[in-house]
Amino acid sequence: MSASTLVLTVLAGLSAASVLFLVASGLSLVFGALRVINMAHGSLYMVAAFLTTAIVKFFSQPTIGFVLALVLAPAAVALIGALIEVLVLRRLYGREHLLQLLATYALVLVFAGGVRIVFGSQNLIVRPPEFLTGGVSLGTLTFPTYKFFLMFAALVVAAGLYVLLYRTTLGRNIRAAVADPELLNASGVNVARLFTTVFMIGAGLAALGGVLISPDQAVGLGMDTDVLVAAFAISVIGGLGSLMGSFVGALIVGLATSFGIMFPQTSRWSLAFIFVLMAVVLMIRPWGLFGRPETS
Amino acid sequence: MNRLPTLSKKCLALLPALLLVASACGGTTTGGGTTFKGTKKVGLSTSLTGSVASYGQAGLNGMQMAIDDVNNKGGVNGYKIELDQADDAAVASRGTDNAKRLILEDKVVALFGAVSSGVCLAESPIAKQNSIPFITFTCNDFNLTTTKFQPYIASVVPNTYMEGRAIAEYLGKQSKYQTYYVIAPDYSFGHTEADAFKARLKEINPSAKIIGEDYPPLGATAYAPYINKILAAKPDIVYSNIYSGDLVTFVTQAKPFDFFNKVSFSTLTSTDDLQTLGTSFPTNLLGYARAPFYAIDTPENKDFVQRYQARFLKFPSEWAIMGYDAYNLWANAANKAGDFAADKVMAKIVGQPFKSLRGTFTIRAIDHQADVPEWVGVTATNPLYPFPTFATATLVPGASLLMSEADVKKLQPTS
Repeated sequence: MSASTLVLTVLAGLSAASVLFLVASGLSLVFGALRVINMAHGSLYMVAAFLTTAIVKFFSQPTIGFVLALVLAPAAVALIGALIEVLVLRRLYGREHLLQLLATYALVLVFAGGVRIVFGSQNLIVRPPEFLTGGVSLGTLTFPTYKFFLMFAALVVAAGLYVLLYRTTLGRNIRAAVADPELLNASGVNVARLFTTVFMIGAGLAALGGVLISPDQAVGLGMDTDVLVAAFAISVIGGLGSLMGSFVGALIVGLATSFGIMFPQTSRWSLAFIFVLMAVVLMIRPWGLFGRPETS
Repeated sequence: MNRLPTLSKKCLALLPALLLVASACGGTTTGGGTTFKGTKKVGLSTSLTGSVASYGQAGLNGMQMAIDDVNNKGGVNGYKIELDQADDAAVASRGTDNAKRLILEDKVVALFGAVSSGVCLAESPIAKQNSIPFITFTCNDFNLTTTKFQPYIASVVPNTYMEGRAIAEYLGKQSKYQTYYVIAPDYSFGHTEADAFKARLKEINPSAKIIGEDYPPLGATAYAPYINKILAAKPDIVYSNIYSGDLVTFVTQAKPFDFFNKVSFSTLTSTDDLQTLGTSFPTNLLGYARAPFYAIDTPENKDFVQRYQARFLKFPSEWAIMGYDAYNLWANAANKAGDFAADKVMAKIVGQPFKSLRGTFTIRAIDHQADVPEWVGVTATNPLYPFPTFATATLVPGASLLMSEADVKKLQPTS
């Protein structure tokens, strides 16, 4: 592999990891605090991408539309998240996981049908802001400007999440919920409100991923399940409930896929690697690389 | 005293609804000035969600138009036909569940095929077991009419063997293309079409070399590594059969790499994807298409395009045109047979010419494959449409693309 191919492979892996990190961190946070595997997490990502197409279309200037979408779509999806938590999940805490899975899977179907009714079945595209189109020249190489923006955005969100979790009272309570929900219950924190807030943050992160990915791929009806599978693998590898786990997990998945594709011998199996890795982690360290074993 | 009249009013209000239910259960119905003996259902299990949903929806639209047209002319064997649709999300197991439900519970008299060949391959045996005509118009793995052939199938879409050959002949005859890179989705359609392409290319231009092959999964979202790989390999041309959302994603991600100025690219072009990408769809791309609406010069197609646009506010894609053809094939045959029994209907399909929006074709007796054509051309800006079209769409006759009967025989099951 030549040096230029190596650089491009690393960049491709990092840019793929960026959006996956955002989505996986939301999934992981919700599981960590609420102990719910939200199958509809990918649906929230898809809804945000479709909302982005509508917002960008509404404004003739794509930059204004896209910047507004970065704020409005996650806010709208966070509100949808609040409704899901209050109306559906709140009734299922403490019940068996199967019920939670079924309920959130039902939401997957509801969102898929709803998006189809509102936006139709046609794939849609979003034009990125002018200044993010085209490529950046790196000597003899060219790499898309927008993909650099994705990496930058993921780093900003990662830093923001770190500050939220480790430097605020809300973050302290969330970490307490992840570590020991029963103790938190006894400490006088309004757990119901905390859970709604956490779910809104998780939904907002999925939505942010959906907005950011929309200028880089077809916005279509399959994107909910596509992203969920990858986000789930990342969360399991990194450790459900761990921000660092999502970060490292996303890097592993992004880079493993990118390098896997580059070699003819492994190209066909590059996706399988991720799931093999997931299975190995589950066998050796079921709580993931950065997770904590569940205390009974 | 007051309650009784109120109840009666409610009952009266319910009467029309009850009458509607009764009529749906097989009573005499009327529509478009025609009196029907009753209603019958035809089934369509297709992708209405998932990454190829746009193709599924277009096929559904085309079939619905055909059903309405036939019903307005008196229906089939005196019955009004209703469409019973189900979503498979391009998942084979959901397709088989749908096919079983449509046939066994909803009692459809014909089943129409899905978008994904994987789904059609799973559904076809169910149609066979239950003796139901199974008409395919989007899925096109040639195994459907060869290794997995069954007597109740009919295909109005050029199959992967035909399509792979059509584009191989188009590219193979251009001597400037000596090194090829293949990129195709990793499932039956992608592989069988790429294999047919490679085999025919070898015959036409034995010196041509395949210098790389990649098979990303259907629904892939990160194409940058594949794009890097292709650019590093520097082929004269890329042969692709990725489609729908995957093609839109590929084009979106390849453009910032200046990919289409660096490498010649050849791919399946569908009107759905042209409409999605609009002016972002690359020009100078060597495309192939199964039924491009703008290139089909029949009065029936022109009328269809106009009515489709008026009804659905978009241009009809290949899947809409072939969905329309598929339903008409079955409806005309059932009318000729004067019966819905599969054996009688198939007898009026097999070996018979059928009139379609694309012209008149024949369902070949040996494999029930129609000798429908493929179109090839180079994309260019067209002032008539908000997306590029083939500058000159060349029709490759279906008869020249069909697998030889001897080869079909070798592949088909013996019993």
